[in-house]
Amino acid sequence: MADKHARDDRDMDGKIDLPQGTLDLLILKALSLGAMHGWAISERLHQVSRATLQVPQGSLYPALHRLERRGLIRAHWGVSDNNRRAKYYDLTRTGQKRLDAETDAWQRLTSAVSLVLDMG
Amino acid sequence: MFSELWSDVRYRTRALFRRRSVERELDDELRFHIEREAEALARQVRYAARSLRRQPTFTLTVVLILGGGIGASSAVFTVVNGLLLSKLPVPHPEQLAVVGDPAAVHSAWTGSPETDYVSYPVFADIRDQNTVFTGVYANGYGDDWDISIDGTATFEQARTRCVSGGFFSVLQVPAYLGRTFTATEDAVPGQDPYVVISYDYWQRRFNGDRSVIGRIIRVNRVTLTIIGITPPWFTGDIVGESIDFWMPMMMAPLVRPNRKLVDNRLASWLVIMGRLKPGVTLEQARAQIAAIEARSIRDHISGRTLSQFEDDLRSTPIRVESGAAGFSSVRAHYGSVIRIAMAAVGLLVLIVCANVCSLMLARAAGRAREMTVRMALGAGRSRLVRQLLTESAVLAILAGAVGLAVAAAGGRLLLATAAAGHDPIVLDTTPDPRVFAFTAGVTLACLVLFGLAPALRATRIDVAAALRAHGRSLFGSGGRGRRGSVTRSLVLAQIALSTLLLMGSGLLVRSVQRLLHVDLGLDRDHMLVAHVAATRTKYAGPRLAALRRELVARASEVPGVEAASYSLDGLLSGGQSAGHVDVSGFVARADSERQVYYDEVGPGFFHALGARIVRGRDLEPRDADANTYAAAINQTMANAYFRDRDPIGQTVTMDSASFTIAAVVRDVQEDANMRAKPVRRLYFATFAPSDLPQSFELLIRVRGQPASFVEPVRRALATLDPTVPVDVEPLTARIRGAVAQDILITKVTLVFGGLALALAALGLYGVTAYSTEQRTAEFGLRTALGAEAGAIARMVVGESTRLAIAGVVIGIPLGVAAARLIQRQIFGVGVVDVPSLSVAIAVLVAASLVASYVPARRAAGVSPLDALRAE
Repeated sequence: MADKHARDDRDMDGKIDLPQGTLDLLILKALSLGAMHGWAISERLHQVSRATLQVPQGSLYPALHRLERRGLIRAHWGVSDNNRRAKYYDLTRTGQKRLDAETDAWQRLTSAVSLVLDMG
Repeated sequence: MFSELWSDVRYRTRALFRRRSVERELDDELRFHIEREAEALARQVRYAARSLRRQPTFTLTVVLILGGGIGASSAVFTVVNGLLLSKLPVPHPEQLAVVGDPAAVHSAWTGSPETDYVSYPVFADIRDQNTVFTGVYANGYGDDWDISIDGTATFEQARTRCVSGGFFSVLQVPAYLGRTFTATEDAVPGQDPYVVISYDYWQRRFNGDRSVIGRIIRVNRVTLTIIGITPPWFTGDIVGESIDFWMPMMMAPLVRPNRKLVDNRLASWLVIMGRLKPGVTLEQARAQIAAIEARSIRDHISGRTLSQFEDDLRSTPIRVESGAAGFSSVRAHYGSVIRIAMAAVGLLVLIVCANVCSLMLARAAGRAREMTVRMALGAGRSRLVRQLLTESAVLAILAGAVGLAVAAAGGRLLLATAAAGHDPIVLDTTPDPRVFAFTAGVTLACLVLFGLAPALRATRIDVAAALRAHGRSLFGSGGRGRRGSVTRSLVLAQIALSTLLLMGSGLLVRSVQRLLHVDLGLDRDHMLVAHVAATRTKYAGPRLAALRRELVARASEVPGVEAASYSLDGLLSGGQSAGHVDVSGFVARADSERQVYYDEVGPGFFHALGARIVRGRDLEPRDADANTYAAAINQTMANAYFRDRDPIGQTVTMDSASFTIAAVVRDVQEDANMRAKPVRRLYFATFAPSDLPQSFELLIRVRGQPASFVEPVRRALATLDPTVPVDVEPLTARIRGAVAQDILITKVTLVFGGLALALAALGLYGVTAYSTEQRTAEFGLRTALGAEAGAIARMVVGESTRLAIAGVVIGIPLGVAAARLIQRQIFGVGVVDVPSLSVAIAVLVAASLVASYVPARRAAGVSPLDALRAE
C-alpha cells in the first residue's frame, strides 16, 4: 500500500464539482464491488477518495435513478444493517460493459491531458 | 445503446402507471439516507461527549467560564431587550405613534406651552381635529395621593395615572373582568367617577377577589368606583413601570382642585399616543399634528408667552415617533447605563473567549499524541477537525444552556440593583425569542473564536516527524518559540482588556466620588431636608403661612439644630420654578436672557443653609411682610445682569411684582442633576399667601451627624400637627439618590472589571504553570549547575511580570480611548487620571505576581533528578 501519511498542505478540503458523466462512472465502479444502498455508495466514495469526494444526496439520487432508467443498474428493496428498509442497487451486465468502456475512455483522456500539461 | 434506450422506455412506462408507488419508494429511499446522516452526526456527538467526559475538570471549567460569560452578556441583553427593544404587548403596536417626548411621562410645567408634552385643551384640539389617527389618548401622571379603599380611615399609596377616555380602546386592551372606559365617558369633569385597576394590583391588594367590581376607592376624598380589571399581560403603556390603577382625566380636577388641569392651556402635563390610520405615515402624522398643535396655541395665547413658545418650537420641534415601544422615563434615564454595561460585558466575553481558547489550545497540545496516532492510522484531517469542532460545539451548547439559565436570573438581579431604593423597575425578564437568538449568536461566535483555531492547529502535524520527536515538547504552547506565542498573545490580550476595564472602573469610581462631594455652596454635610406635603392637607392662606413659621420654630428648638428655614422648592427635590424678569438697567436681547430660576424662601434662609452672602444681608422676618419686597440674587445672576454695577438696591420685576435686591449670595446648587451648570437664581420672601394648599420644604442645619437628627426632628414637627405628612432625610441621602445612576454604572463596571482581572490572572497562571512544566529539564539543569532556588523563582516571576506589564502597556492607550467614549459620564476628572491609573496598574501587577507565585516556587524546587526523569 502506498504511504498513508496525511500531510495536507491545503487548509480545508476543497469542494470538487464532479461532471455528470464522471459521477455515473464512479457509481458504477463502486457497485462493481457489490450491491449497496445510496448512503453506502456516498460513504464509500468519500472514504476511498481520502475524503476528497463528498457527493451530496441532491446529485447522488438523480444519478442513481438515471442509471437505473438506462438499465445500467438495477434496484431491489432489502433490509439494511440497522434493520431498516433500504433500496439496494447492483450492476447489470450492460452496466458492467459500460463501466469497462468508460474506464478505458477515462484513462485515455487523462493520460492525453497529462501529456499536454507536461508540455510546457 | 439500443438496450439502454429500451430500458429507459420500459422504466418510464412503469413509472407512468405506478406513479404513486414510485413516489413513495423515492420518499422511503431518501428518508433512509437522511436517517443515516443523522445517525452519523449523533455518533460524532456521542464520541465528542465521551472524550469530554474523560476530562471532567477541563469540561467543567470551560462550561462554567464560558457559561458565565454568555450568561452575563445575555442578562444585560435581556434588560436591553425589555427596556429598549421590546414592543408593548398590545395588538399591532407598530400602528402606534407618540406625540412629543416618550420620556416625558413625569414632566409637568405651568408657564409657556411645551412642545414635548401638552396641556389638556391642546390635546382636545388634537383629538378633535386630526384625521391621521383612528383614535388618540392622553396620559398624565398621578400624584402620591391619599388612597383609601372601601372608606377605611387609613391611607395608602398606589401608582396611578390619569388617562383620557380613549386609553383602552386605542391600545385595544379588553377588560379581564368588568369593563374599561368608553371613549364617550370622560367628557365632563366629575361625571364619570370610575377607575380601572390592573391585574397585578387586583391580586396584590384585593387578593383576586372577584367581588372587587363596584367597590369604592377614595382618592383625596373623591369617591371613585372600580369598574374593571385589565388582563394579566397589561401593566400600562409606560415601560419599566407597573401601574396600579387608571383614573379618567376628567376626575383629575376634582382630585387636585388647586391645579387647573383640564382647562388651562398653559398647564402642560400630558403625553399623547395615537393609533395611525392604515396608510398614514409617521411623517404625514407629524406634519398634521404639529400644525394642529401650533394653531391650538397661537389662537389662544399672545404676548410673551407666545414668543417663548415660538422660541421653544424652533429649538425643539413637535415630534411624532413610533409608539411601538411605549413611553418610558426609565429608558431615557438608564440609557447610558445600559450602553456602558453592554460594552463592558462585551469586553468580558472577549476575555472569556481568549481564556477558553488558551485552555483549548493547552488541551489540544496535550492530545497531540492521540491525534498523531489517529492520523497515522488513516483518519483524514478533515475528520479530526470535524471531531474537535464537534467537541467545541458540545461545550458551547452546554455553556449556552448554562448562560440562558443565568440570563433570566441575572437580568432580574441587574434590575433589582438598578432600582435599589427607588420604585422597582418592572420589566419582563423571561428570555424571549430575541434573547434566545442573541444567546445563540454569542455562543456561535465564541465557538468560532475559541474552537476553530485550536482544532486547525492541532491537526496540522507532520505525522512521521511527530512520532519521532517527543510528543510534549513539540506542542509547547507555554514555552518559548513560535507555537508558544499564540497562547502568550492570548494572555496579553486578556491583560490588555482587563486594564481597559479597570481603567474605566477607576475613572467612574473617582467620578462618583467627585459627584458625591461636589461643592453645593452650602453646608451640605450638616443639612436635613424635610418635605412637607401640605397639598394633602387643608392648610391654605394665612394658616399655611402660620404652619410654615411654626414648623420652623419647632425644628429650631430641637437640641443641636443650628438654624432652620423653609423654601417652596427645596434642595435637590426635583422641582424648580422659573420665570421671566425685567432687571433695572439691563436690556435683554432675547427672551431666554430674561429667564431665571426662583424660589420663595423664609427668613434666615441663607443662614440656615450655611450659604455665603457676598454682599448685603440675609432675608429677615420683616421681609415676609408684603411691604419690603426684598429679594436676593445669586452670583451668576449678578454677573449676568449687573457686571460692574452694584446690585444692592436695584429692582427686579417678575409678573408685575417688583423686588428690591437686598443681597448677593454665592451660587447654591439646587438642581437634582449634579452636573448642572450654574444658573441665575432669584430668592424672595413669600410675598403673597397662597389660596390653596402648597407643599414646601424645611431646611435644617445641625451640629453633628444629620442622620441622628432625623427622628428627633420628625417627632418635633409631629407635635404641631401629626396629620401633616412630613418626610425627613439628610441632604446627603438626596445627593446619593441624585447620583444613583452613576453609582450603578460604577458598580456594574467594577464587577465586570473584577471578573476580567480574575480571568486574566488565571490565564497568566496557566501560561506560567505550563511553561514551567515544559522547562522542567532546563530548571533541573540550572539547579545542577549551581543556580539558587531564589534566582530561578525570580526568573519565572520576572518573565511572567514582563508579560503582564506588556499587556498593561498595550491596554493603557486602549483605556484612554475608551475613556474618551464615556466622557459624558465622567465628572471632575480628566480622561487620563493618574490616581486611578496607578491603582489599576498596581492591581494588575499585584495580580500577576500572585499568579506566578506558585509556578515560580515549583520551578525553584525542581531537582535535577526529577528533570531527567520527566524526559
